Amino acid sequence: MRNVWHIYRREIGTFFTTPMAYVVMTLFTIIANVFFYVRTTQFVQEYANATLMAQMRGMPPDMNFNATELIVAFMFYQMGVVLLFLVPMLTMRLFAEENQMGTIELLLTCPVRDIEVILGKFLAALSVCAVVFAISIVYPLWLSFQTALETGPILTGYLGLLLLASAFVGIGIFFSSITENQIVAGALTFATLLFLWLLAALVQTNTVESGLTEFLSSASIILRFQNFAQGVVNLGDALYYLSVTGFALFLTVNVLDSKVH
Amino acid sequence: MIEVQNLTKQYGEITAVNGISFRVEKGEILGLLGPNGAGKSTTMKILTGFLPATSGQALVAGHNVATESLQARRHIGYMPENTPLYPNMTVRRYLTFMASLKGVTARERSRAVAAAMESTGTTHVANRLIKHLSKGYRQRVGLAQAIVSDPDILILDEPTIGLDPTQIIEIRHLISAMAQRRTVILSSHILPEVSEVCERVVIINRGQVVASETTKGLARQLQKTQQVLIEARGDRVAIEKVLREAAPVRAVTFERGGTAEGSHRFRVDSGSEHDLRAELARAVVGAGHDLLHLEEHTLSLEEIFVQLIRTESKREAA
Repeated sequence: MRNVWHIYRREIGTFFTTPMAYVVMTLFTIIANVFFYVRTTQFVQEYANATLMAQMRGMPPDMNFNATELIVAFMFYQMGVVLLFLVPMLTMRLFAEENQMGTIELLLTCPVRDIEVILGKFLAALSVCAVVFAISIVYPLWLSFQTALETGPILTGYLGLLLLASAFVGIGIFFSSITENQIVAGALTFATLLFLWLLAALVQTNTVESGLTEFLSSASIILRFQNFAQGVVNLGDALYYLSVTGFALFLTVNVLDSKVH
Repeated sequence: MIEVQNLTKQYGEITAVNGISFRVEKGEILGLLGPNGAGKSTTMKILTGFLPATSGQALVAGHNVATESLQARRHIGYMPENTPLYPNMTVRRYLTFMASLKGVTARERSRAVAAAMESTGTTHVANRLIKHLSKGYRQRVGLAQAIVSDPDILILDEPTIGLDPTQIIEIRHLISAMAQRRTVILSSHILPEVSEVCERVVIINRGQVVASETTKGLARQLQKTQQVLIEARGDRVAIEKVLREAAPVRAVTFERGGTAEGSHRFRVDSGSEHDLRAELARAVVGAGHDLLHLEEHTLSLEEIFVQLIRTESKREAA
């Protein structure tokens, strides 16, 4: 396991000495910022309107306006969408570049297990995601000075984001391992993530049969995430993300095992 | 130290390596020689555990490379073809990274890296990015990476390809120095390189071993007939006649490029191991011609190589 650490350190070094990590962090922060601003403004207006209406009717102000649910949960959902675009950018390089430069041959002929190489790279990419999430804590933090927030759903939201990111990164690493071309790796990853995401949309159209609906919604990578964002931690949901991650990494081990370059 | 038995590797329809067997003893330097695409790199990739063999087996330091890959790999320092490196790392960072993956402990690491840079002459570029180094220096860094964990076996795939003549000589010296305490397999398609560095050569063509010999023995084995190069001054036809009649010879051929005014060069093939030199000299002088030069011609390794490959291809075509 010491080898995982060596690989991890090199990858982190590469992320932060090349522009990629900074590009991803900047993009994420800008997009999250816009969503947060828009949502918060909307919320404030709706809240003001509702309070005004209540006063006119001579009733007490509506207590159903919950900032945690209406702003933070929404923010988590949007961060998930942003991840869909950003994870392929982070993972596309990881193996494709080594395949292309031929350094994979050096790496795999060192006395290191394939899984150690994979885990090192996986954890490095996941760490960059974690850094990005850490930056986004400023929004709920700022909000908590303005209004009361529940800590529970915020924590589970971040847990969900991490699990979602780990499944995404796993898929990204797999596609990076099967090609020498970073663009191909990124495109395949994005297409796959988008497909898993859109399963949710299929469910919402209500046009498919009910058995299929059930299957689709359990396979959809986003419907399960909404539970976390709303403060519901379900063991099944967590297992879903972990098994997607595990399966993707398992496939990657097999790819490395049968390298025929 | 290294034992290869009946190794075969197929990529789909194509057979890259076809039943290769050879042994390398401890401390030996073996040259793997063959034209491009002969299966040298594939053999090396199997030995280093990067590719699985289709059939047959290979033992490195007593470990089967397929079933005990990790143990086998611990003994090997490998430099793949074209020396892949991480361009955005400094030499020192790169070597430290490789040392850590090869199990050099944290305490030993900086000393091991310093020693590897010292013996490859890369100490003064330690803090430069690899992408800013010349091809010769990258090759040195590749060698440094191979020896950083002080392995007892070195496997070097075309270590001098793409270098200029001075760099080639430098790298060759480096390899000779590194080989003193180690077992080395080195591949090349350039003969002088192998004959200068290696004690023994395995020649591979189309995935098969064509010859396995010491460099000296190889020349002896192939040169069954004596050839004499002779240069004399006088009438060309007359000299040729004298040479033909001097001794039982198989062929006398006229060659271009006399070195003096009115001189002619001939190649005399004795057709046997019989030494013709004295008889030829006497005959030429006796007939009143000036003998300017006489020399026994030994086949160069290039000629042997080409000859071997040609007979092998002919046999296959038949």
